[in-house]
Amino acid sequence: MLNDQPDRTSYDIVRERWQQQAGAGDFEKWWRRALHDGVVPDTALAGRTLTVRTDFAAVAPNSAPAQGLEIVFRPDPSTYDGRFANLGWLQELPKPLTKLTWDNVIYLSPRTAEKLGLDRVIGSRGGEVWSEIVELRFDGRTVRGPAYLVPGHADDCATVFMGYGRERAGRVGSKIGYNAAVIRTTGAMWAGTGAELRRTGEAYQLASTQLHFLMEGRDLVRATTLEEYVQNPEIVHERGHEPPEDLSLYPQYQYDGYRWAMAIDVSACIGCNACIVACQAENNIPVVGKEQVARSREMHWLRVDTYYEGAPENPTAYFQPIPCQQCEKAPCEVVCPVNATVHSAEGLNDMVYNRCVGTRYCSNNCPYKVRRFNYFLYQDWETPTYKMMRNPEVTVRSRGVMEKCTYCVQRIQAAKIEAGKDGRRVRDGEVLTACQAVCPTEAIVFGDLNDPNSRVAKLKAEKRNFSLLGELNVRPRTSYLAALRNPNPELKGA
Amino acid sequence: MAHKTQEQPEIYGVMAEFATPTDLVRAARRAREAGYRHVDAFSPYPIEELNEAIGIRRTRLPVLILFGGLLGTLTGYLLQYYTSAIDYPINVGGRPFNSWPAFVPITFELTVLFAAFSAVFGMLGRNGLPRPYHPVFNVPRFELASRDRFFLLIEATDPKFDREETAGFLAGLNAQEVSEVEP
Amino acid sequence: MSTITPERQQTLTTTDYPVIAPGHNFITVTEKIANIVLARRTPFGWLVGTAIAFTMVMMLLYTIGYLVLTGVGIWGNNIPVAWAFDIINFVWWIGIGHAGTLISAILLLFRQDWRTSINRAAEAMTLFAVACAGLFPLLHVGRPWLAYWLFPYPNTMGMWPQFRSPLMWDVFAVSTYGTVSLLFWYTGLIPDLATMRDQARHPLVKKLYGVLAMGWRGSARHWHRYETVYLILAGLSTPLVLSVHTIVSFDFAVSLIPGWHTTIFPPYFVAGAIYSGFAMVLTLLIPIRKFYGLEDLITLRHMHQMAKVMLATGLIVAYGYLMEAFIGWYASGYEWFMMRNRALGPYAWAYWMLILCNIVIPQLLWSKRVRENMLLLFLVSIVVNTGMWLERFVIIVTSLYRDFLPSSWGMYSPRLWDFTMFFGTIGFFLFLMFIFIRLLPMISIFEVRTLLPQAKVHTEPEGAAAHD
Repeated sequence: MLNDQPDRTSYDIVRERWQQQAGAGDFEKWWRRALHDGVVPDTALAGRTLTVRTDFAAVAPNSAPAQGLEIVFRPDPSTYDGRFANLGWLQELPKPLTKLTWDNVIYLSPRTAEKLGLDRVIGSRGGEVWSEIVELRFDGRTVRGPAYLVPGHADDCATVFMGYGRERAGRVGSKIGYNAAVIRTTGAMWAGTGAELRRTGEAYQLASTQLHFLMEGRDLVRATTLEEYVQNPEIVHERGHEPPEDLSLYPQYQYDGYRWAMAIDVSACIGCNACIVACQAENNIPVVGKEQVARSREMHWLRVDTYYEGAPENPTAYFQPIPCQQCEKAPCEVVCPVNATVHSAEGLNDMVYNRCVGTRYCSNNCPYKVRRFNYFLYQDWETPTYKMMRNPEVTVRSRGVMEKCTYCVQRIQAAKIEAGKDGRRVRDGEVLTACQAVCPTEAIVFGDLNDPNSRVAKLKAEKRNFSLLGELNVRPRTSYLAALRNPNPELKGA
Repeated sequence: MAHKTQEQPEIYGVMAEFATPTDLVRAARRAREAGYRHVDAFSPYPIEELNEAIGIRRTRLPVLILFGGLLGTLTGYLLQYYTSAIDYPINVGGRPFNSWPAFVPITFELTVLFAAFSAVFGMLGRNGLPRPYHPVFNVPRFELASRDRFFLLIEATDPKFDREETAGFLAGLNAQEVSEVEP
Repeated sequence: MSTITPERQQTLTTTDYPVIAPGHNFITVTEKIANIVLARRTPFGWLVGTAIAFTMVMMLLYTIGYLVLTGVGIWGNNIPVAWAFDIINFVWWIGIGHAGTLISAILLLFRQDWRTSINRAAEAMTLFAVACAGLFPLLHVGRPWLAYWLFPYPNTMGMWPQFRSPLMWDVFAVSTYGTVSLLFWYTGLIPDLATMRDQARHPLVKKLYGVLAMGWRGSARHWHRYETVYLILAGLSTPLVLSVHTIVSFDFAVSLIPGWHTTIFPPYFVAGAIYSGFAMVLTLLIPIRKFYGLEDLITLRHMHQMAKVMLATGLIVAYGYLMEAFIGWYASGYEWFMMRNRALGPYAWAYWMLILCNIVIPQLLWSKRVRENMLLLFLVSIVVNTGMWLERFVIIVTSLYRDFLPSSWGMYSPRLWDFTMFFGTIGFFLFLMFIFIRLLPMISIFEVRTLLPQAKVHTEPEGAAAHD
């Protein structure tokens, strides 16, 4: 410590402090006792009796500021405060609620946007969304950025995101988005009131990986309440029209060794996107850039779909991670003219890159649209440093070939080799897919269905297990566990 | 044929030219009635009546085409069966190795393809085409056979053939012109 | 239709226009047709047309070069809409390529004499349309240099194609169709090539046609086999022509995408193919007939008949659209959503333009006045060609862009290179057509001869004597 008593130790300082507190008596005895007990007797704070103020709503700060908008500063969900701005993986990572990439936007509620005459217009290129640049004025400073409608956002409030608008972030992160820090002062670090929003009439192109957030009455994310589920555990199954397993004209292939499968708990998924980045890193998935994302050519093998249900002011949001469903009766395989996608003996829907000629028929015939096509040579084959970045266990794909989730087949193979050395079967939990390994809520579980004690087999036996688009009878190996909500009945309608 | 007959008669045959198809058909009938057998007729378009007039037997080409087609059927199905079920059986979308309904279109296409090849090449083969040289082209007016004139040829190989007598016979059939065909 | 007896033929020809104008004989028809090719002077209009078409071919070649070097990403295709202009154009061209074989094969079997002066050009058109169509499946793949993997050949990889894929059926159907059409066309050409050989004066030209004619000399024995084979080829081509577009429709019908997975597709595609094929024949023949003064040989009778075929197939296609909508409603769910989305969604303009072009406007053909007005007929044929292109756009794009999961929906818009590729193939098609007109007799000479009254053999007086 750089003070005037360099020879004093921290022990001395602490001891000295307590000497003043201890009061009269033998300090040495008191000190030793306190250290031994870990507590100084009779120093607890006195209990206080509190009463709930029933008029809290009236005295709470007004959510609608008297004039102008409330402004909220948030770190960006992908680039944080901008320190990760030069990371292509994170730039291309779709933001949890909007699925926007490569940009930060100004969130507005649909009603506020409507008041201002702003809208979100879906463009014609595929993943393109057009919005309007607005000028946000706060505390005498202004910033210009694209406005964006977000269901469930508070009215008369604008949320801005930091982490963009960097001048010199690097090859990837420079000069994209707007710099929210420009209008952020110490007076309003995280929120403030009195912001003004002015339209500029300037259209701005955004690249989004999802354009449509409603389920259109389709039972894609099955959700129910705990109460209903307890009353009728079959409620999830009753909603589907999945044909029985033996209802098929096709032969039942026997999978005697392993039967790899995945179960994803929609209840547990919080939409954090960690799985997407993990998958991208594990499987050498290229970053394609904003222009290609706007053309709906992003390459993520795993995506997290977001759906809103209910009124736009206060919707329920669901997150549903969609990897390849690894269908047993895979519709993609049947239409491939060159046997470039076929089934393995363990039930994996294998993609053979070096056999693929790129007809893209498999993608057309995939009901889940999980296949990704190298429309250009997206991978940088030349730069030597990138070679060190890549996973040597996974092929780097060339242009003109289709690719998709493999259930991390390289990890499966590695585990099988390890198990083979010991002369045993792969144990449950020995293979973690990349997405599973990083999931903070353990929403993704992978394993062998032939092992009745595996976690995945047990999850699939649960009553809330369902297949996405099960009525198509393509027999997906990936299944979902219905979202169970347990809302407080007293808050109903709030 | 032309080479073999080179030493005996120094001509290929005698050819008569007619102005109308009716004259040609009539002349062809007369020639056949007169006992000529190595007779051929030439016309700028097909004339059905000539078939019976010069005694053309029904062609056996349809049988050839039938077998060609059947060969195509077998080839088509066996190709698919062999490659999908025997040589490299692999689970494709859970479908059976021998997915016979899916193999029907190609089987059908190859049937038609093989039959069409048999038809065209059978026709050319039986007609002896391509044939760069043929004695009939030595008759200068024969190039009208592809425009508006009709020709009747009695070949020298005919047992009844006699240079003068045959030429005279043809001239008496309302022929416009009778000429000898150089070999 | 009942068989045409001589009496009925008589009434038809007296009340309707003849298939060949009176006053012609063997020499005039031969020279009229052959001289278009053998004339020394190349018409100026031909040179201009060919130059324009050639420029478009260069544009096509540039596009193909850029495409192969860069990737199919130069087109607007994306992930829900992985097929777009490429397959639209493929299906459009293949459909157009149906009229030729239909005219030459099916109408031959039905003994429709009006096929005679249009079959050659229509067959040539078929071949060129198939050539244009073939470019698309070849070049739409991500790695075109490996497209030969779609052919079954023994290889060191030990791999075979996957015969359950409708694309493999396409490979066989289109290549068989192209080959059989070529055989059929060439077989039909042989006697005319002999005529050209005999009509040509320049020794080199004579030699050239001589080689192509393979020594055809019009022998009665040859004609006999020729006629047999030609009839059998017609019999083979008839199911073939129906199978080709059926198989093309399987590309869609066999899949599970709402809007594609439909059993009505095979008949509806075949009818649409004939519809667009006849429209294209009219689009080509109306100017050609005018330019080369072929009104005597390609008469108003032909125009009437083709217009009527278009009207009939157009109504079948209309029925197809109606059925599609009905089944969509009846099936509800995804299918009904797809149907409403087609008619009311962001691509509704394409759907209603298609209804206008393919159903509404062609109803003009009910009027005899329209069928006889070459300009109107030409315009209607162009409208139908456009409509049939839009039909494929509607089927392919508006089915793919919104399928099962709303999360993966995405829009589609073409880019510059989609258009250069499409118009480039139109240029290629026209270029081949121009070359064909200049080098080969565009009307079957020998078959036209058989239509002349003097081609008949009169057997009445001699017949009795000969049978004795």
